[in-house]
Amino acid sequence: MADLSDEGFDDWPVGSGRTGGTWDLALAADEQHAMEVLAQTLRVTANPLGRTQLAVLLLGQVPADLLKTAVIHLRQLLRRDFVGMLPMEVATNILEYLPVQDIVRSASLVSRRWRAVATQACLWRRLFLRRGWRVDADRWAFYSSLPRGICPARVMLDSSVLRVSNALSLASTPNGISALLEHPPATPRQTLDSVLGEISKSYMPQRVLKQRQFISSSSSEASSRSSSPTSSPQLRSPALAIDWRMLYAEYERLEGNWRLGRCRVDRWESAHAESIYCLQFDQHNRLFSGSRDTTVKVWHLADSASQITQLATLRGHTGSVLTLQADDAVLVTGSSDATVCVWDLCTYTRTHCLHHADAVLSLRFNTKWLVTACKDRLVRVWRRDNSYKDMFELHGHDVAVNAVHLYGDMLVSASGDRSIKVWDLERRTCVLTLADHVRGVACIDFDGRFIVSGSSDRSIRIWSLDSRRCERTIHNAHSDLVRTVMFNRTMDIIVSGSYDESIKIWRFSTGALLHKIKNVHTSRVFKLIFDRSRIVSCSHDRSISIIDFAANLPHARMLV
Amino acid sequence: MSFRPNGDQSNDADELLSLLRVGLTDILENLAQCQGFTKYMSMYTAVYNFCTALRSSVAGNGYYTAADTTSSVHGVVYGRRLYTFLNEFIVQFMEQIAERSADFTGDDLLGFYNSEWVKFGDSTRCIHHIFDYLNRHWIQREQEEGNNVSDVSTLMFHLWRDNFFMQIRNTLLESVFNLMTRVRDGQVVDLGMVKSVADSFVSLGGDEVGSSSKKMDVYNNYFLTPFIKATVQYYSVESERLLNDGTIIDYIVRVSERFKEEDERAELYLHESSLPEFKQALTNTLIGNQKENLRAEFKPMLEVHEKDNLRRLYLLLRRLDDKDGLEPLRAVFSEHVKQAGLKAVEQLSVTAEEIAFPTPNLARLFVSALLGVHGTYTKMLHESFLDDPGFSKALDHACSDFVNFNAICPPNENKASLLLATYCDLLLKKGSAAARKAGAEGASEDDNLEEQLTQAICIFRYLKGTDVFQKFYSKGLARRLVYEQSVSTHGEETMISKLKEVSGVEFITRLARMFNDMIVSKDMSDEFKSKAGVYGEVPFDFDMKVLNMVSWPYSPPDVKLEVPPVLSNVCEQYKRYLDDKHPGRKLSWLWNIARAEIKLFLPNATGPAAKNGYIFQLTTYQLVILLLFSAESGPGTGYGTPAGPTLTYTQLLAATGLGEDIVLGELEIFCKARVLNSSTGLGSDAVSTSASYSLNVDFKSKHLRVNLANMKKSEQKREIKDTMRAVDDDRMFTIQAAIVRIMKSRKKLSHRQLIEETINQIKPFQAQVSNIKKTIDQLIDKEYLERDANSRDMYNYLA
Amino acid sequence: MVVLQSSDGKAFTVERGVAIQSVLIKNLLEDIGESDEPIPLPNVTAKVLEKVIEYCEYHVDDPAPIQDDLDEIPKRSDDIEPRDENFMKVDQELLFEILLAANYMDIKPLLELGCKTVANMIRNKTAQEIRTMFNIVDDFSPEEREQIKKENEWAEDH
Repeated sequence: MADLSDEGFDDWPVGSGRTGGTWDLALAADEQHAMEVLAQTLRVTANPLGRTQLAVLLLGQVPADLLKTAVIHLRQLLRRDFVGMLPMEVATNILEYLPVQDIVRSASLVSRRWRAVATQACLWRRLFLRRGWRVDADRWAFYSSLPRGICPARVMLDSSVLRVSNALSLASTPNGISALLEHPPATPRQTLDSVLGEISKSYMPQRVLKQRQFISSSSSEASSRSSSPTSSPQLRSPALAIDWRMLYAEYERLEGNWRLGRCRVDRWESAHAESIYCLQFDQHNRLFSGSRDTTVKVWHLADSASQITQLATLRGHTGSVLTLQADDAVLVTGSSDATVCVWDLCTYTRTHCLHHADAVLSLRFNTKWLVTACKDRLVRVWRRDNSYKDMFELHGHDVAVNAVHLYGDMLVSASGDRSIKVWDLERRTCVLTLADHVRGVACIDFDGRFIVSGSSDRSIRIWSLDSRRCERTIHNAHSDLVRTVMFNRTMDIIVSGSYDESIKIWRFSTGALLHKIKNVHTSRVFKLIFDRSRIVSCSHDRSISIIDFAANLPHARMLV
Repeated sequence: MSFRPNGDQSNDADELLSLLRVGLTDILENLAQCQGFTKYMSMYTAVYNFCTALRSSVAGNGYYTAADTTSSVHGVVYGRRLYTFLNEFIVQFMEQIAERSADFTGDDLLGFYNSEWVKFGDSTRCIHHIFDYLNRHWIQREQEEGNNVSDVSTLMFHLWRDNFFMQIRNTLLESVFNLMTRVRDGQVVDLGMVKSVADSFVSLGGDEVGSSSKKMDVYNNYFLTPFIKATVQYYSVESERLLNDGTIIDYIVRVSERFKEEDERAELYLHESSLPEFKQALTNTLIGNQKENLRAEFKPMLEVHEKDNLRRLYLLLRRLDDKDGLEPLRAVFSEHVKQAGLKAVEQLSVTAEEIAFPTPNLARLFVSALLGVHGTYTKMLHESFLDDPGFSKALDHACSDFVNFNAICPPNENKASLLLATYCDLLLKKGSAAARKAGAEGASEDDNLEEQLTQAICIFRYLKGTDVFQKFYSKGLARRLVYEQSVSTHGEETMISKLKEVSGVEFITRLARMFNDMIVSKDMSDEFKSKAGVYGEVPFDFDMKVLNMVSWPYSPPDVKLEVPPVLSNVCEQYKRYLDDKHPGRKLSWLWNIARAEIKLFLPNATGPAAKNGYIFQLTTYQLVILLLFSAESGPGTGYGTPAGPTLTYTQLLAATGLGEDIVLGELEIFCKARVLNSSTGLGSDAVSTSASYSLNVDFKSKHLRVNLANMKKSEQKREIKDTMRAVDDDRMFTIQAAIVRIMKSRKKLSHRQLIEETINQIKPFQAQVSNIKKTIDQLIDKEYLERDANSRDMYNYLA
Repeated sequence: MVVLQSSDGKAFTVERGVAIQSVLIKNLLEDIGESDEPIPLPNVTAKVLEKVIEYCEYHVDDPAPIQDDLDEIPKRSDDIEPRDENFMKVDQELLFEILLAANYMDIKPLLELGCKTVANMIRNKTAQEIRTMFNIVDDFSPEEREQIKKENEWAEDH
């Protein structure tokens, strides 16, 4: 390493008002001035070699103790302020190689110049993207279109109310608007109107359902990905100056909250008249819940339980609604009445009804397939391209199939027969059977490479499709049946819910328990689902709970 | 050590900018002459120093240092300043070009535009690189932050577009159209100019973002669309004039040339992405609007075989949608070929008798008529329709129609299969040279045969009911093999391999086994003869063929033939040989197809016949009968007399063990040939059950060899009938097997489904619904199937 | 062969493949064409140019660098090859000049190597240690320093 001998060399008093280029030996002012004039003259007249020769001659006349000081000074002259003196782009490049802590705690405190480099938006943007984080452009565009003075956090949360309800009718959701009115920090009426005008302009009903886009490494890329031409000008408008450093800080904090279990738990009692078996929420903050009371309810998911509003109630099943999944356009529900219903989410009407031989325990769909797991031991598969007409069955499980999960053409099914099977839907064959659980398997999650399963044997197992075996087992994860499980490898997290009434957060990579969240439910946990900022769960106790890790972070919801 | 106060900064900047101004002017105005490493590097360095706000100390001692360490945004400020500078400079330059262009019009404007464009392109590339530091840092950062900034070359093209091109584009296009009109009128002009203009439009669409379609916007909107419009206008006028002045044929010829020219030119100057659109527009103008008229010309052309015009018309209409263009022509073509085929068959002169029981001659005429039509239109397909797959299909369709159903071949009789099999027999049988005479002079016999066999296969491909062909072919083959009548082994093998190619190995398995039997028989015959010591001497020439029952279309006769001892001894010997060689095999004698030659010395014979005797070729039955008349003793009278014995019909019946039909039939042949005399008169009419027979000692014949073994006409007819019946039986069996197979896997099916599936499953012939129904009833009787109790229309499979 | 000329007039004759690792030289040769004329590099001294050429000669057969702009993992500087690390064992002044030259001549791998080397010097140091190492004057006012501390609290979780 260069200049190792110089490290920690600190016998030169710092902060004494010197500049890097002069040497103050406390001479008289006129003498000092004469020296400078002399030096100036020499610079113009002599060539560098000559000047060097002269300096050496002069130094020869200096007494030893002062010569020592002079040597120290000369060595300082050979040092270089890499960040301060290199072009900005090179300096930025250097800092990119540092850990964030070094940038914040050391680099930005060195000097004003260093601080200027260390706080540049473009540096933080790169650091941010290199963490694998992305910003939800829709939400950011909405946020940045708001006039100053409206509390961003508040509006952020409620924007979704307006967006979703706008699809129905703006007037029918006084809740969302009143939320705005409650917190107007010196917002004149006029501004509020313009906000609403902006909202209705930006979020036409069709936009609610359009494919989402993400601010990515460069704007040209982002706009080339975008499907709607109207959105790209918004991205490039100067109003959209993202404070990347602030976002980085908030996301860092959000990750810390997960790691340390810092969260706010909000219970929402009596969402349904009876046990709630299944739920899902989507990026538009729509929450779907299915209950033993035979109904499916659609809610707008606000940040606190008191602000959750109901958007629709879907009736049609004659038994408990045990399983559901929704995308932007349709909701599919499965019930103990042995039917699967497909609902249109624009009109909230039922478009298809698929009959089964027994209760439907689980279902998943993607653009190509709909898969249902039935108590009659069969998995049924429909192609979604022809109104659910083309159907085949997968035989293989010996008792009821409790859970299914889809990834592309790959299907994973879990059964009370203690086994998990992986199927290739194109070939219609079982390609792998995993059978390490010692009691029935109750739930699974699957991301194409890994499967996480929860079982009546109280364990959670992590399976790899690459190695085709169980990679890790969390024994006695809960004190009763593990009923629901979900994981996210980017976040390195597994969340599980159990009949023991608790919800636990685990490290995916190690299987270590990060946090046990108590007092969320007072009875069996049936289903949970989480995104970057929160866990939403439902229970036999008829309540829905929101475990929010971003309560103090107004921008965290923009993270995808 | 150099260190300057900040104050000098702006002066330095101005210095750098003026250096760049001079350099840029040189590059833009005269790139070729102002290039040199030093100049290039000084400009690059100026840009670099400007962007980084670094300055070298004047004395050049090599130390550089950031001038302004406190401002965090200095790079941004200088970057923007340089970008703005470049933008303004290029705008000014474009204004100058625009000004100069005002002096030009027409071709001169095109020339000016092109030369400036080429220069500008080269300069832009160079300037882009000289400003690379700006591209790499400031511009990239601005773009990352979502600001609307382009890299240097994109910027320059945009400025060209917005400050020059947009102002003159209408004049420019006018000049292009003007030029094109002259090209189309036949003048020689420089098409390269059109290409350069078109290329410049393409480059100008290079937007900073967006998909490739957006990149082509400028070209598509400002060049292609007006260009196509002008082209359409030109040709609408020409098209109208051509139609007024000449015939449709003239139009076709002229338009074909036009397309050739325009296609070549378009490739030359249009961007490849726009070729389809351009060609489509041209097609619509010149063909689309005339398609009915053009199509109407097709039939007359077809009738007189105008192959060049047919090709032109084909090529023109091929540019249209299949539905509008070729599809209707193909239908006309198919129908035309079919009619030609039907007519060719109709023109053959045949009798009703010949149609009922086709002769080899009819087969030859029939096949050559089919081949003639097929050949004519295959040639046309190749020459005029360039082997278009659609036309090829239409031809096949037509052939398939007229080959199977025509004046000679009524529906459902598979006569064509019979005729083709007969034709093949004719080709492959010794002594029917007449059939092969059609071959080209000078070609070797084998080549000639092969060519004819290939043609036969060509017809075979169109046959419906190849099972019938197979049956008759195997009959013919068997006969050729057993009686050693094949023209050549090579010929037989060639045909088998061709059939295998067309119909698969299953089709020829039995046929191939027949060949094998012949080889094995030959070996065994030789071995048997060499083992005379073991099994006894054979007093005459003896050739035994051992045929595998399942492969051959023969079955042992249902008669108890009294084999004369001279023959039965030998048979016994061979049987013993065979038993030793292959113990446990059952051996049956096919007396009905065996042949014999005997030499007969007649007492009253004269000349060579007296010396050498007559040689009679006989069937076994004939042999047995004739031998009775040369026996020393027997049931008849007159043994020992010169005329030999006389035997009554009853005696003959008893002595041969043959049936009445056979004995009567053979007696007829003997009497007709005057070999035997009947007690009741002369000739075949005198044959009766009450007569007695004796050898005609006065028998005379011009030839010493007399063949009585030839098949009789009645037998031929019977064989055709029998074979047809055998085919029918086989078909019923195939249908039955198919139905059982289907029902076994499906368990339950409706009547309609079952019939559909059965028809689909059966390949070599088309199963008739009535036969399927009949078979279903049989299967119900046999309790393979039952009608569903609830639904009469459903069948259940009974295991 | 290509002739490169330093600011102090020294000429270096190098293989084309060595020279075109500098994108600047590569573009220049494409735009103007090759010739025996020396290419002047007014921002690079002989001492530095020699070092830069040494690096390019080491790496003449390296595969083209992969564009890592879209990487989703933080950049790392602990992956310097021993040979390169050795190459970079020079005093600060020369290291500084190499970085400038790499940036000027657009030799990305060398620039990254230099940045990694400097980053490794800074890593795990306090602000004061950095100032000492690079001879930098602390020019913050006390109020500014207080303000900065407040802003940076979020990073204290670690």
